[in-house]
Amino acid sequence: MPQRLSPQTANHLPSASAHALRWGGGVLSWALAAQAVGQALPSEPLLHNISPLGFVSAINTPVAGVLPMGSVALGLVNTNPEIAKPRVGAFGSLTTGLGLLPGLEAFGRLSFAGDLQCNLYGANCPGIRDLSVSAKYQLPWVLPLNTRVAAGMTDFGGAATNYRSKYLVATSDLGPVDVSLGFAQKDSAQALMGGTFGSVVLRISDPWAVQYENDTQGHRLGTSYVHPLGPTTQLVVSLSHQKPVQSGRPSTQLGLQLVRHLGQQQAHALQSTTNQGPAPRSSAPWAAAPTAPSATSASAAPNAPTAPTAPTAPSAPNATNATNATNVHSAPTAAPSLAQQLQQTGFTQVQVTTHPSKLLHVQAEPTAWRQSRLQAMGVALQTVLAQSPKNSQSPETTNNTATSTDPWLITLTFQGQPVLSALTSAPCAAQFKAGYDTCGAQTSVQFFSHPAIPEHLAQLVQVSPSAPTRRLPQFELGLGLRNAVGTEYGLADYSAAAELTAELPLAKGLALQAAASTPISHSADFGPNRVFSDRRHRHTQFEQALISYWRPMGALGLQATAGYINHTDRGGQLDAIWHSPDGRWRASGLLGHYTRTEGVYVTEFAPTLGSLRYSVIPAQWQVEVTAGQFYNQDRGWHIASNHWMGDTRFKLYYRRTGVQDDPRQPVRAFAGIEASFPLGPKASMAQVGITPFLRGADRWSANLETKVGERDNLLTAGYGQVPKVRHGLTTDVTDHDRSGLADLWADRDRMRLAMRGR
Amino acid sequence: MKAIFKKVGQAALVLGVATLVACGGGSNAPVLTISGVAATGLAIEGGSVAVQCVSGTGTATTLANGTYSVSVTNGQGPCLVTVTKGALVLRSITSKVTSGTAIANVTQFSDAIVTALVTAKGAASPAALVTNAALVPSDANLTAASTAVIVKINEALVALNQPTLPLNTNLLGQSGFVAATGTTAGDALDKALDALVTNDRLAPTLTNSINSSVVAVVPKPPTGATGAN
Repeated sequence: MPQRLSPQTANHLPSASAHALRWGGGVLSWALAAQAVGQALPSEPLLHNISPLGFVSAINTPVAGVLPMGSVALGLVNTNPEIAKPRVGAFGSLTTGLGLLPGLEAFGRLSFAGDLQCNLYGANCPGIRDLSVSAKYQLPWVLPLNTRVAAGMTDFGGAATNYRSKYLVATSDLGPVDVSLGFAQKDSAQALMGGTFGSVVLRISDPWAVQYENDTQGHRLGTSYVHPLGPTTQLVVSLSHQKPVQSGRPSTQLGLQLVRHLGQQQAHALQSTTNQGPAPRSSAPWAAAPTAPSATSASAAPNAPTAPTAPTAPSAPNATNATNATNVHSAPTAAPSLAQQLQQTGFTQVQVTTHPSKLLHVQAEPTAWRQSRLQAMGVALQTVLAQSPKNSQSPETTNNTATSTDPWLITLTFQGQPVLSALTSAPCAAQFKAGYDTCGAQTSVQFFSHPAIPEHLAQLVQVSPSAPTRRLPQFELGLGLRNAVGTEYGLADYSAAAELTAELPLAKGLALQAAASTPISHSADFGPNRVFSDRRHRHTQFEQALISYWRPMGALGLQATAGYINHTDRGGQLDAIWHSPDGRWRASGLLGHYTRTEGVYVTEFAPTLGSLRYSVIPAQWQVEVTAGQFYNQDRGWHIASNHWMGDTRFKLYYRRTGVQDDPRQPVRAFAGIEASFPLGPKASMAQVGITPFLRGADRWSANLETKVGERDNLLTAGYGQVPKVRHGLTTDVTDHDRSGLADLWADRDRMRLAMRGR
Repeated sequence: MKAIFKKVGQAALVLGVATLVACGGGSNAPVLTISGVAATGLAIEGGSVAVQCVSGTGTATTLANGTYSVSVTNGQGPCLVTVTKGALVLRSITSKVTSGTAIANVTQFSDAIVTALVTAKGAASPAALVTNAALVPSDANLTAASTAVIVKINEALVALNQPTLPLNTNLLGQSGFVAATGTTAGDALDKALDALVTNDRLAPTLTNSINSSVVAVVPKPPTGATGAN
């Protein structure tokens, strides 16, 4: 019987909980599950204040609430509550917060006082620029009086720890009033809180709240207003006043915070495009082998709009069938029209085959849809659905012609080789689009990520005739960015360059790619003869020129690449990737050798790396460990926590590498964050008739890291580098590490949205 | 059969490209030669020379005219040059050179510049200037430091009614520097050393002003966070 979930609950959290519970069954999983169910929905007021200290707060003191998982917050406050305001220059704190996991928030804080541009090493430039990290974890238990407890720390990281403290806080939600009580321990003399603090928040209405707090140094009264800027975005304005006023400190504090829930944009978009009720959710449909459908009747599913027969995987064709299939390709009734439609929507190398077993097989290269494979699959499914007979209940069949209830196998390729298949049928695709996860007794759409595809389906794909090759060059526009943040020379400095990447497919799996950059802008300190001048984008130059070949081999994906990995180093590398059947485990390896020739001086680079990744909460949280020898011969390890929030990924990492007993490259540890997201529209410019294909970068990423564990945090580069082939096995083939079946299924709303034209 | 030929063709193409790329490397190990003159006004004879580069090290002994030469295989500059004779320890530093010849004259002037660079960079020791990648001075740093110090030296020379040095004098790597020996006279730079060095040392006031002038023109390395894409 089909069941439906409300679009609001289509945020993967129950599914995430189930996965988390399966994962070891330990305390962490239990906590994650409990927290996940209790997450606030973005339709509720997310929060009423974010402290410049870096946490969800009453005003400046923490409360037990945290940023919901998948949220990003940007804040600007005109004070640093811990210190006096200088006589000249700016004063305040910039904060960036992330709801990383259920119950866990992390904030980066850049506090500043004084002239933002002058050199702090100079005698006439007193002030502070302090970059720090704070985090808070809300325990998963709800105590009496609806009380939550959280523990946190402020100002960890960096050499300057002006505001370091630890705290524990409990907040009781008593209807319109939140009462918080906590205790903080100062680790830095200037830290704000030391001792017992408390707050009361009165929610006058949904947008308005009034707060009172004691931060252990004084009393503060404030108010805040939450203004929705959209279904998943809120602007919070806060104003507060302190008594008694402390020497040199501003008594009035004004804050602006922008909070955006990246992780639930899809759910809200679905909500806005349908008024339908809950859709069914099956536990792990991606793991179900395609079997014969059960005879589900309409009477057994009274709430379902239709009771279609589930898509059934046909048996593998024999040689005769294969021949027939090829013949059929030449003259299926709807095939030319469908192929043309697919080409018009941005697919190339399209082939449409109706097999004797009634299976309609569509194979296409989503050339205009490179940002997300689910987006591409949604567009393909919708295109096929739009071409199918309108009467989806008609069992009418003719020999060798796909009918409304016959199964479809849609296969997407990359460089002509299959990477993702979806098995469905016209009525089931319609069900899926409407929000239903099941169709009859089975899943409305079953995914198969190559090479993890059942053998009989794989044979279907393989016996399909070769697609007509249309080797169009593709161009990608990106941005090269080098930055320095929170240094003695300024609040933030940068050097930017425009990047153009070109790809030219040559044959199945074989392609040329080249990238070039040209400087476009830089801040003063990246200018000539300035402190960051050696890191500036100086000239127009090529960045990469490679030829690569990849192919699936058993359960592995393999890729060989040769050429220039950057503008000075040439050589080659081998990449290999393995995924577990459900895609939650991924193991990969890299073996490379590059040389750099400067005059007669030759430097060799031999990266040898192994990596293991586990998808803890599919489509939302991955943990990855990498070890071996990195590009600059530094050996060690790198651990990363990848947090997917829709199409945006935040990677938090810690890395420890170096060369033992070599004073030139001693073992050093770094902590950092990398943000990555697609640039530009979802479809390339070919959509509007411009050929060749031109698009924004599929994934643009930039990181910020600092040395940790040493007395200084001098800007230090050159550690932990991995040679990256811009397009190929580790990017497009694996959909930027999202191609595991569990991840695909957890993110299936993306495909629904694509089918609805979003 | 056609498919097989196609695959073989693809593999051959990949192998061919890989072979072409692999053919590019290979060369004899380059040698970096560091040479110069060590002097205090008089040439330092029999001084122990230790060279420590960003990559590579070497040693030598100064000759009667103070000259020395050290070859460093696969050497990569800058290189810190230390001359020791008894209690006397003087340092100099080369530019960021990776092959050929680099000149590093070792005098009280060069030693004052190295000391000032240590202060300016916030380094823990002179060796950190070549062992800590974040602290390695750029060629622009060395040029700026030398130019700033010339001004201070000339001020001191004027105060002593001595002839001044040309402003383009390279206090670290002046080519053709001639130090006085028991039988030969030194050049202008050597005469400036004669005038300003007493008991193998520069006057503390001059040392302090050299330090300040270098710190003013050589930026300290920044701290904080950095990134790229």
